[in-house]
Amino acid sequence: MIELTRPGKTSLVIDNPVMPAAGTFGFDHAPYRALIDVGKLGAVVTNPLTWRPRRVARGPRVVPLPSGVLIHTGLPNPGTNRAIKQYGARWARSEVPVIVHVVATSPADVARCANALDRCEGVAALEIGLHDQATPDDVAQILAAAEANTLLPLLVRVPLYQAVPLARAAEAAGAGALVIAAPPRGTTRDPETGQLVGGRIYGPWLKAQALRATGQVAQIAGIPVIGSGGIHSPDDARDFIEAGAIAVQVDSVTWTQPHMLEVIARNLGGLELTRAVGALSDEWEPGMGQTMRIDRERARRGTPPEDDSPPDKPLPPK
Amino acid sequence: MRIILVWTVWSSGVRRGHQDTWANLQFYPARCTLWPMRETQAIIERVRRVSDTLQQLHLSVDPSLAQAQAGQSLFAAPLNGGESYLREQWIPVGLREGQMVVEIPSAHPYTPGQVVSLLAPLGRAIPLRPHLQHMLLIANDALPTPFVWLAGDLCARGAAVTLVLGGRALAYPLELLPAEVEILRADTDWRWPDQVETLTWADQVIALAPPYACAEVYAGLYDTISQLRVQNVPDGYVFGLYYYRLACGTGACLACQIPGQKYDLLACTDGPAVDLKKVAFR
Repeated sequence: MIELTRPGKTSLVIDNPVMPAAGTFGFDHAPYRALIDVGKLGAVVTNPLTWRPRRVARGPRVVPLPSGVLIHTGLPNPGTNRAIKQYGARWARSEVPVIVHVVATSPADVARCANALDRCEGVAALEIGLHDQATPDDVAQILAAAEANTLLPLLVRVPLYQAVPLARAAEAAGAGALVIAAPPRGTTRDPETGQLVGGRIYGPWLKAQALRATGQVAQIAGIPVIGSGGIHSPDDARDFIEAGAIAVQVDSVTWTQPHMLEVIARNLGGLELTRAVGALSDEWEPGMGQTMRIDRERARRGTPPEDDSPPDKPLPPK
Repeated sequence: MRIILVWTVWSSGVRRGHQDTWANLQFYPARCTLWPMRETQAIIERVRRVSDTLQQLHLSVDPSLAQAQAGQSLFAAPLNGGESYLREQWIPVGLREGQMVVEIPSAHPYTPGQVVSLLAPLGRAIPLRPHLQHMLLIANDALPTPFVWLAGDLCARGAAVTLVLGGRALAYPLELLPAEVEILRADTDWRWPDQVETLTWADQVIALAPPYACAEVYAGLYDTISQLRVQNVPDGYVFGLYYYRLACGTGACLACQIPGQKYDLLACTDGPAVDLKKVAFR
């Protein structure tokens, strides 16, 4: 069990330190239900939500980069009230805690969102997403507005290049946990239209910078830190834990290799099968479950299920 | 079976409270079973260069993909890592001898024996009107690859198919299309011979435009058809194909959202064929 937010009456406790990052998994886990076992995750973070509905951005929205992708969606969402109507029942039925990501547009809007989501049964916590130009004063106002309207634990996701000052401000303002960090913004030319497009950048190259920011914040923060940015393998996720994060958020690898999110969750959650002694490479692979291993062993030995022998045991010491 | 049924209901629009969306339509061939997306692997059995710019890959795919229908596509990535970070959308042109054939630009180097990871099926089959006899397909400045499988199926069941090619679509090798398809060539102003007759003759119209021009082209086509028809344009009469560049392919990132009249649609899960009557162009 991992206490994801600062200890208190409404602290959020999760079973596994791995969760998808905001904007990568949808408003509920329906898009990925057929592809991964959502129950193996520690929590689910929703797509960004604002008080008023927002429509998708015009023009190119997905631009490939040499080692990543630039996304500019305009944060389309149905608005808080409609999202609660549309997804609230599914959030309540979710097998893992649901963390709703709220875009910090203004203190008034955040207050309205927090108030509405506080009454929604299935919401376990709120994640406040700060914009890139936020100042420590903005953080204080936004968190004060949220805290006045909800008892839910508040996570604060800070921009990558202002991680330390804004993390300090968020902790001082009462944040329950810090998410380090939001993907940075960039601009590139869309090869199809020739237009310059600005948006958030994702990719494995981001890990080095996010890891450094996570380490810096973890050294000074007195509240839990969640690492995020460029995680594409269990080893990447373990690096964040080693740097001081209590949990990790996985972003764009969920799009390119959906199973990798579950592999990371199984690995960090202690659910991954340790490679059996003497197992050949085609009998074991990272992320393989016990059931699949036994099935393969049965197929290899040609034994029916009822006559199945126990899995391989480690060889006795000589 | 129950899982498939639940998924079908979920993805057929009930989740957004618009049960009537597909009510008057049927999925070709008269079947509306939707299979959940799965992550599988495929082997490239054959690479066939069909023109200077196009190649066809023959794939040995998971048996579940034998259920795929015209309009559905594959979200592919080489297992050993490719040039692109994101997956590529591969559009099938048919199922031949148990293998799925996809058509992609020849700039992407693939070799026989290569293993690729597939997220599939992507999207829905193209919905066809009941008792369809005359189909008008329009490819405006985009290669008509998405029409090849559909046109073949329609010709096989005796429907008359007319394909209008304009702009970059004129460079498409016509021998890849079924011989029964009538080809018309559009000029630079997007006019073609007997334009009014073909638009009124067709039982259904499906248009294809490049991603950056979808809104403009489809709005113009819809206006033209609205003016030709004294009565309102019926539901499911004119469709546009949206092949946006996709990030996730599952409907999670919302980067392929299409603004709608009553509700927004997603090109990856609700598309690629979208009823233009439901789209908010302005």
